[in-house]
Amino acid sequence: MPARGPGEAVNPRARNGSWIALGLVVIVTLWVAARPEPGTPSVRDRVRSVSSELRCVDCQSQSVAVSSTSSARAFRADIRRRIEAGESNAEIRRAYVETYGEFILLKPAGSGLGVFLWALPVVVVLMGAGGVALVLARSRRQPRLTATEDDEALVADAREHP
Amino acid sequence: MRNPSRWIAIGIAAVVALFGVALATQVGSDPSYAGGAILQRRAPDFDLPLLDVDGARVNLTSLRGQSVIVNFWNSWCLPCRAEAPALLEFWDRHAGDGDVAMVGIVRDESPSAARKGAREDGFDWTLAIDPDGQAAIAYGTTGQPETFAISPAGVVTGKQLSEVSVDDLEALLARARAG
Repeated sequence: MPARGPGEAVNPRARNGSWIALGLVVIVTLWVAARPEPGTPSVRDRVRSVSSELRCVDCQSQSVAVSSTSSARAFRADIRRRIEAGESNAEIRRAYVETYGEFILLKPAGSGLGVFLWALPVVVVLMGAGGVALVLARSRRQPRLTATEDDEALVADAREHP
Repeated sequence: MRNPSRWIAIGIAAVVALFGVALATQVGSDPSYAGGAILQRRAPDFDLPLLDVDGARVNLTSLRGQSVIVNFWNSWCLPCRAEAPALLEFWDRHAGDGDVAMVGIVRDESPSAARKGAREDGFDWTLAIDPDGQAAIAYGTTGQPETFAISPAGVVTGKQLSEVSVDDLEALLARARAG
């Protein structure tokens, strides 16, 4: 194929083909990267997932997943044993809640006091937004004050005799 | 409404105060804090190696029919050492009772260190180690010392999260005997 000389026009069909090929490559790459991994999560993934939701019982606000205490290690081993025994993640969580109470969960539950915990920030933000809206509405209703002649005279006097 | 922003602020304060009250009352009655999550439930069985007899084990099933005091401890834990005299006095009183058993479970320590601590304090009741921490988890322990009372039928009838006195132990035993 002879080399194209300067000024020689590029075949528009060939150029479009290149763009289409490039587009296909991008689409296929994104599809491969974004599709879920085949198969079920590994035991290690499940141990990590469950243990990240549980409170380390002898630490300050750390999860069982990240703590290095011996009790956290014991929890991780217990979770692994339960998974290998065929328990689902929900069953494992439920077993710990039955023994320790809701305290063992890092995230509050969606019932009882947990509902209050989740709802409180929303309520406070809504009330705050309502307050801001009321203040803005009131400031719009009140006309901006204009300076009277007395005010102007007062300012002028202050300027002349600082 | 003359000053809505004031009412909004009062509303937020009321919600926060209500939350504080609810939290305080819930925490006070939360079984995990009161140690009640396991109370009146079947005691989790354990089958643990003895601390001072190689190859021998203790399991809760073999103690069925007796009132059992289970004490989770470590020799490095100061409150555990502080409650040692109470445990010794309690066991002096009840070691001869055929219906009472006491098991000390080492929660988180090497056997050699725990053996040394037990010798120093003169523990002479059944002592076991919990090498993989499974008994501590099954009983819902969050630290040490923690002491449980188990009825002859195998039900957890009492629990104390902090160091025990002789009176505490007697109360735990009475609850275990009452079933």
